[in-house]
Amino acid sequence: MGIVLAAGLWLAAPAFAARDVVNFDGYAPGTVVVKTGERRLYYVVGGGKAVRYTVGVGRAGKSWAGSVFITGKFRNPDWSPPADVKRDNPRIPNVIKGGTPENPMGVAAMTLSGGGQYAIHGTNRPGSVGGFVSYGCFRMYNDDITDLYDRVWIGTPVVVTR
Amino acid sequence: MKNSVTLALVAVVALLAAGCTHMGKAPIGKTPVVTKY
Repeated sequence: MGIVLAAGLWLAAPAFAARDVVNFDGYAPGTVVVKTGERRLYYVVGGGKAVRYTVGVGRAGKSWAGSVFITGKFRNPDWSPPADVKRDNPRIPNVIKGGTPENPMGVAAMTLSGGGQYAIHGTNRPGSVGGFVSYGCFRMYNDDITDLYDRVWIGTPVVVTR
Repeated sequence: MKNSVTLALVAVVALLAAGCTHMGKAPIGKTPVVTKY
């Protein structure tokens, strides 16, 4: 019985245990901080610590900084390109179904306030995570966005720095 | 009287629970998110 319980705990643990927890000061617990230059996103857990994730960030001319908050949480969302993306890539379909290999949101997306049509989302191109690759969104591995998704709420503050 | 108060309280709790459960999920009908990427 004890062995079964221990095995169950071991199997259940990696979702949180495998995360990269680092020293991090200066922000309230529950805040998401994106350091664009580092291409890292931090979720502040308190006690001077944060969970650190690798993210893809805005490419040259597309990065930004500011304080916003999460306005929506969506799992496997259908996705539509905004006008400027469509203008750059006219062949992108007007709607891409959620959960399909063509959908750039991956397994989840959290939309951000501020009117910039930015989001923190998963990806269908994991090789691009960690680069200066996006239109200003923050692109995470699907496993990481799944982890972050469960930590944040609508209204969670997001601070983006250069 | 007591029963109707209990019933009202149960209804309020059920409504709150339904709201909390749905909060943060994609809207019914799955409107596409329109974001950059």
